[in-house]
Amino acid sequence: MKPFIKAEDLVHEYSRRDEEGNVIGINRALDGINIEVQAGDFIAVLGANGSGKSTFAKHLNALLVPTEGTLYVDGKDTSDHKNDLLVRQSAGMVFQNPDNQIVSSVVEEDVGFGPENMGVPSVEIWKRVEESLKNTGMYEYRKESPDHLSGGQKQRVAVAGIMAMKPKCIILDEPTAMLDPEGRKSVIKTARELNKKEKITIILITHYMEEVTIADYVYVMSSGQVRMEGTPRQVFARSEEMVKYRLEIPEVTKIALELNRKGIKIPKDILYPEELVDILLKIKSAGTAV
Amino acid sequence: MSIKLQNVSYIYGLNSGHEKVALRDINLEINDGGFIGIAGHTGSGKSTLVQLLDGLERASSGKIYYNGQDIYDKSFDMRGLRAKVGLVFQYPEHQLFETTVINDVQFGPKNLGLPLLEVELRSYEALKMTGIGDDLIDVSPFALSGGQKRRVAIAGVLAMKPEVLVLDEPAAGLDPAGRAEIFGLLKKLHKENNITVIIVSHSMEDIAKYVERLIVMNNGSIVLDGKPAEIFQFEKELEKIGLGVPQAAKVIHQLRDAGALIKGEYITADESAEAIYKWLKNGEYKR
Amino acid sequence: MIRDITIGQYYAAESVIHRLDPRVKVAGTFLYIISLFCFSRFSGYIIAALFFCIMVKLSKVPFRFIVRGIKPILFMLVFTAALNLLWTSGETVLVRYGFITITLEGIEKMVFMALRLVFLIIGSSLMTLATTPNQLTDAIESLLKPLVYIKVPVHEVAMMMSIALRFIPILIEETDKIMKAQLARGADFESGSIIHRIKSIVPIIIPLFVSAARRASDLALAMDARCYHGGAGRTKMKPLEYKRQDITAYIIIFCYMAVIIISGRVLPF
Repeated sequence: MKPFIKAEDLVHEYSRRDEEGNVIGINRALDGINIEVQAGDFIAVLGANGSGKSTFAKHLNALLVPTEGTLYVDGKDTSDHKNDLLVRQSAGMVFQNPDNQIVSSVVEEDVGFGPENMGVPSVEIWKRVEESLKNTGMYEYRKESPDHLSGGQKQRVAVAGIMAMKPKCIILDEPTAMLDPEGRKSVIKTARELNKKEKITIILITHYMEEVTIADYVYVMSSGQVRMEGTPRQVFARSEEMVKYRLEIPEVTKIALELNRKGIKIPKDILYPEELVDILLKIKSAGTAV
Repeated sequence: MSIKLQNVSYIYGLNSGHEKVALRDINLEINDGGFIGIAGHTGSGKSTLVQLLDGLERASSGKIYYNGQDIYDKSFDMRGLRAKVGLVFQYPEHQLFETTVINDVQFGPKNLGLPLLEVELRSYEALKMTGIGDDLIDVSPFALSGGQKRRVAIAGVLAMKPEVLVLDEPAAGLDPAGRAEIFGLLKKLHKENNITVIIVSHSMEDIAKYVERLIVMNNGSIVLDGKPAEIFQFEKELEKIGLGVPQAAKVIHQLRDAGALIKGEYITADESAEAIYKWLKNGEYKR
Repeated sequence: MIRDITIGQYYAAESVIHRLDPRVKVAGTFLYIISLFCFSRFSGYIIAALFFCIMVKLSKVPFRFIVRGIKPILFMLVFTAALNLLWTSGETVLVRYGFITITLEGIEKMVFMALRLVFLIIGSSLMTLATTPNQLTDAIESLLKPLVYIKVPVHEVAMMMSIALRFIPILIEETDKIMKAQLARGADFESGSIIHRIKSIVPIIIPLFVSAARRASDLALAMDARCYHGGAGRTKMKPLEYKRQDITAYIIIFCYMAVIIISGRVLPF
């Protein structure tokens, strides 16, 4: 089946300029990315600041154009500007700063901004706005000003705004970086539900390893390249390599690694505390610890 | 150095018809040399509390004493208090405004009316303490990376030579390596320069790693105050007020729930791994 | 807390005036202001006052809110009144003190001009009290649409206005945060000479501008991502559509204009 997203040797170079605008250096933010995403997947792209992950996200939404290589989103070549609006409608993007992506002073009007731009008839816009707000659990706040919402709620409004454009895919570029733990949970939960119930392809860009446990597939990026890929378990099993990519291993996985080092035979790909506890209890009762 | 809050309350919008109690009847004593953490859900009053400590906000009722002096007394030097209690807000890089890094750091000491030589000396020292290299001193602060900007902002407060450094979510918005850098810096300042450090944080894992005393707030009141290891034993109570416990503590608690006899409190990955190892080898179950 | 300050002080209520299409209110206020310049005798004010009071009653906005609009321009009001009083030459001299001459005509003119200003202000106040900022920008965008033919970027200006309205509370709060951060570094905004005080706002203005620029940049990207491409081909969620009551309102306004202009010629005072 043709992949929904296909990046082939994708390269992006930023020119660094001095105060007069003369080019003083080239920064290769993406250095040959090869990634394929199937429709309906929940993909995570994990990387520290400067790894190139946000640059990649902007390519997916045709906000940037490849310097070399190609990127196809929903079968369309992103380097062709004629495809810009089609790509952005099919793969919508939610950004990191909750305030700086809300255009209107009333929630329901902001959700309608996308469809308004697309020339959708008024009656149809209202239908879509209602549906999207209900799908993201924000319907009761529709008449509120965004100023009265928490960070997590604002991000869910942003997600609703993208859903109102009826996309096939939503890209979330570090959506939780500025939120408190409660806000983070609510945004990830919303993304997960949209993926399961509405079959929306989700691409989650993040630097928190704990957030990728629910993904179908994970790409780990560093210095503009994909350094590691696999299912969450496969990637967690190689957690020790994460430190050199400036990422932090979740505590539970750290405990598993430490026990391994001490000689306890325990799998390294532990994702959740409950899992670790189960395995430890089994080991203890079976007496296979030593 | 000592800070004492006695029956302190803070009410937003007093007399406006839209009153909101942010802090109720707070009693708190902070003495020299601690690394203290303040945790609480959004709206618990922790940010308000912190702004009362250096006089940026005034308590609606109650008294605050700094080194035994009533800070609301007419003769009290409020400006001097702000030098002694250095407050670093969330996303402090948003307050940078000067043309060069060194000029921005000099803003604080200049405001204290210090002689120019002293101002320059303190600024260089502060930048060294925060690990900002000489090559960046004459650069525009806006040309730096996020993490560097933050360290310059912290240096700007350190240049005032505070006795207490208070930071609201010092690692907000940083990636894992950035977090480690900032906390490493705070730990160093605490140990080497003997500054009392108070952080407001949401991250239980960070608190477990660095903090010596944890103050938990809920709905404007202090509900728990003690060593993190002791406080994290109250997992259910913490969950009820919208906070969690570090994953490492969770694992130990779940093992105990299943009957494992593990004595003691372990809240970091290393400690927990050690305790679990011992239990696997020689430990017992509760019958 | 600080975010609850609304620009233009919208007063929410369920009234005939609130329900009118905002274009009627904007155009109506504009015509009302013009009407104030269409008569030169006091009788005009009686008619204008009658009309205005009926509007206020219909709008259910308490009178004290409307009167508040005069406070900011009180200085200008007194200044204009004084100018008119002192510089009007006339026949009936009442007081002569040095080179200051106060005539009866002067007093008449002063009262007349002052009343005009007052009526103007309270008329505009009523409009902003009974119309939300977003409705106002929609109305202005719609009414100015013909200007597109002479290359005026009407849609873009309206979009800028509504985005500005959305961000004003955010920027106000940010100013507060920045001020506190600089206070924490020993800044002093209150004492010192005028020059010192002006200089002291630099540490607030610069970070504020930087922040506003960053927000604008982020927002522009987010708008692109949501397929914004200018005004062409855009539909509206809440399109402005005239209803029966709006037509009636327009008729009433025109009748009022007619009465005012005719009375200015017919009535003796």
